[in-house]
Amino acid sequence: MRFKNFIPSFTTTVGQYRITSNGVRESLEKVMVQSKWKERRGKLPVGHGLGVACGFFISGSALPIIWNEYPQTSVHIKLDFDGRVLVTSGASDIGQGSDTMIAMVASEILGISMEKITVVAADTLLTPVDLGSYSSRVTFMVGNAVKMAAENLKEKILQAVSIRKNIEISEIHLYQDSVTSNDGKVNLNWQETVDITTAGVGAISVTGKYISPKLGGNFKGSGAGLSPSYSFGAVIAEVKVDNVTGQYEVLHLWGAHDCGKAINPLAVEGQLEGSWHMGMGQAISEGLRYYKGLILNPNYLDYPVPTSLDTPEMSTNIIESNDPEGPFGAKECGEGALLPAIPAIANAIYNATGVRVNELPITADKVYFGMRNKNNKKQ
Amino acid sequence: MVVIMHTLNLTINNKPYHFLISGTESLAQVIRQKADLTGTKIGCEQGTCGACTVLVNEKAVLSCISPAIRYNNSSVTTIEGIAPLHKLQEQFVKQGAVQCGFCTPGMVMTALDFLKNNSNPTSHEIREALSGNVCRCTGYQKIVHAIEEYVKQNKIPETSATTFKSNGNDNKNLLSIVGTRQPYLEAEQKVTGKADFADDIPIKNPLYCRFLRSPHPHAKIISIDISEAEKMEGVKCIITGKELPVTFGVLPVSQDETAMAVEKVRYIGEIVAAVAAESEELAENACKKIKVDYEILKSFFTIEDSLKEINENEKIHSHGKNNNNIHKTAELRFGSKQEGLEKSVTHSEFNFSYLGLNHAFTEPHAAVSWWDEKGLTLISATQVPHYLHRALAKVLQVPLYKVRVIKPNVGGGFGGKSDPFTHEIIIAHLSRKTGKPVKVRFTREEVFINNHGRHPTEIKMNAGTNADGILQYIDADIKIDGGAYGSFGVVTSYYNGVMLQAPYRVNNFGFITKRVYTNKPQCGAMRGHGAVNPRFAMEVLMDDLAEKLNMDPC
Ligand code: FES
Ligand code: FES
Repeated sequence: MRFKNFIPSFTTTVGQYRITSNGVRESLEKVMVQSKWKERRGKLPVGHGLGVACGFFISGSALPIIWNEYPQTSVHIKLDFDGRVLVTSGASDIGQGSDTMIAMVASEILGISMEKITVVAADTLLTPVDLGSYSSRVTFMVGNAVKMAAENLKEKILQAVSIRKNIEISEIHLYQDSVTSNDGKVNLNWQETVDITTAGVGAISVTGKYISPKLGGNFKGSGAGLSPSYSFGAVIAEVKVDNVTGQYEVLHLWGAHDCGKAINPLAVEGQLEGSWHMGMGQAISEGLRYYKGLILNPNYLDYPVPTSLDTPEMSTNIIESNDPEGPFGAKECGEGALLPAIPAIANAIYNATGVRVNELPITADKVYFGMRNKNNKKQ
Repeated sequence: MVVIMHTLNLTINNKPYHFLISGTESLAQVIRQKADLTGTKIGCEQGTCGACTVLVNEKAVLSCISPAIRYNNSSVTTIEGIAPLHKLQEQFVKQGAVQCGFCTPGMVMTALDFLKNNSNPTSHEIREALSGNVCRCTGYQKIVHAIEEYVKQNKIPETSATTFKSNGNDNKNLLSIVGTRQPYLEAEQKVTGKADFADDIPIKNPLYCRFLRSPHPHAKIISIDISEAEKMEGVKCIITGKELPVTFGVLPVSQDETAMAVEKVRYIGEIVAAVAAESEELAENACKKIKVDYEILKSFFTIEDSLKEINENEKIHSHGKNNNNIHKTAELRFGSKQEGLEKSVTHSEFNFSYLGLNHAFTEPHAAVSWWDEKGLTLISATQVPHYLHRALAKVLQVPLYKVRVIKPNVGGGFGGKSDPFTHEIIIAHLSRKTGKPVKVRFTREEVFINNHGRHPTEIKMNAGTNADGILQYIDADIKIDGGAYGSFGVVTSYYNGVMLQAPYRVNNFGFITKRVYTNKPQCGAMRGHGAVNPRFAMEVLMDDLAEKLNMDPC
């Protein structure tokens, strides 16, 4: 039924969201095949169940929180005599790997190795503004800004070499830490390239920025959820329920997420697995409890984050739909993947027991009472 | 108060140390504060996260709950003692087992201890061994794989050293870096305990800040008496809400919070006063000597109560236009539900309810600030240095050019470090008044009280399809419990509805979200902001509709 209802790529939603790349079909196909959905669902041993769900999320908010005309992000790159490329950005790496993403994008565009690139990120005295790590905006927006800045630097480098060596810009290339010409006559290593580029001008500074295109409808509230692109995904969960006690175990999660293009697949996988794990926490155990405004469970024992033992193996699939506006086609992967994990687990429990628990977290007692009510009705 | 001091002899990482300590100091405190080895992290001080794991006489120990004195004459190994780069650490880096890195030193120590006794573990045994170590970033998968890979490598005779550098690509038209698996630039720093998080940064002669928090969910502050506390030895400065009356909030439309409670408190745990003293303990003791007189007000704990009509003077915030505690109503409607109903043959409707969530990142909030002739510098575990910069300037009433915010390594955020926070403003003010650097670090309990997590939610949602299973309408009635302040709540209110308009095509779609204030810690943005709970509802409805139509839900 989901396949019949998916919106296509490059369309507009009812609330005027501009959907560009959309890998939701590929995501669902992937997890269906991997989990052997068709072959196994309905034929599992008693107490086992398979459930499915899909997801959708923004890849950066198109509107800034504080309305002004400053770009959503600004990035500076400096090249000086020592050949070090310094990228400064206000992007906040909180463990998601944005510093590494910045270095990779700069390295890719400039054609120089990562070790020559230094990222200084998030010091409001030294780094130009980035609005922050929220709304899954950093790879899309900062990635684009770094790309622009690196392209500007590359142009300056090639221009300087072109003048010095008296050769057309289109005849020379910067890659693998050197500038070479098609005819082989120019072959400069990085330090020689830097010396030519800085000659007579000193350190080179370039900038890049990202400004979201104007999007959305003309009604009050139309700005909410506008994004230059959206991510999609799907999860299938398998559970095993003890039909006496209602205790259950999540046996496996198959997940797929369309992040446009994985700039760093190692980091993307980490984000996806972390998201599914956090979704699982909300599904099975996490929840804040209060008594007359007093929090009752302010610790990791009474607020149980799933441990390594509670967490199953996950099959991690990156779907690449190559977004037309994302840097190298990339869009978000840090939040959206979480969404389908929770309902996939709930739907798997239903598949196993015929009990719908619509209250999160789905603790064993809720499953137990659900099964008991169902049995009572039958009798 | 006379504190009896003891001599503690330790060998840490093969180096002899002699400390003078009190009987209450934990091994973690001694390691971090006295031996300056900050690779050992403190995530909870409750013995529940494993971040503080070290080896004592070759056995893994949670140093946060171990009185240091108990280990007199023992030999301690911390992450700094696993030098230079152990093969296991290499695998952590290579396999992407390090994200924020805050849990990493503890993970490595636990794993090393475990592998000593079991050099050929199954993946289940690895998971069992790590089950006392919380990681909020990785889902554990890459950590388990790193250990498995290390075990595997150990069995093969050693070859040449591994290298992480990406291979160059000879074809200039191909992407040579983008799309390759790159360990984080700082992964090696993190896995060896060298990476500095906010509480690890060495600061000369800092003061430490602790808070007096409200014991009441809703009460008027009649008076605050700090006279006794002020006189205590080592206490340098005490401040209360009246000194910082300017409101702030991450959204321009919700500037409804002050650095400390001014007229009244709105939740249990709201900060009423702050003390800067020469040690955390002294500051904590001084807080206990501050006397506050409260007049108890009627409290609101549930969505239901906060929707009710009430007297003007019962409202949690006076700024709302209505005679209730509704903070925001967001409503959008597209197409016609009537038309959708008419075209549908199958309908599904459920009520859903959700407890609130906390981000539970492993690094508790921490910050340090100081002033000099250039103005304020604040180093903080934040996701939003820019908005923090603005909020500091606003509340402290200094020009934007007098503020500098630095983000060090941050031990996870997930939305829980994406607001400017009261403790950041408070220590900035304390360091301005005292002329000294001021440090603060939340306890795990304070992280939960500060919250800003996912809203407790109630959703009634219905949807219908035609006989072919094509969606004809979605309609959602959503209520979210915002707690005492606004935070990102206005955005959350919209996201709860608007994020339903994909990935399924629907032409008749409407929602209404009501966000209420209650006398509980505030809610804000958490991973998947606002979209998570309605998505759960929608996907359950899809499952139900498919079943009714006898169709495969895929
Ligand atoms: S277990 Fe020691 S800090 Fe958490
Ligand atoms: S990497 Fe484990 S908590 Fe962040």
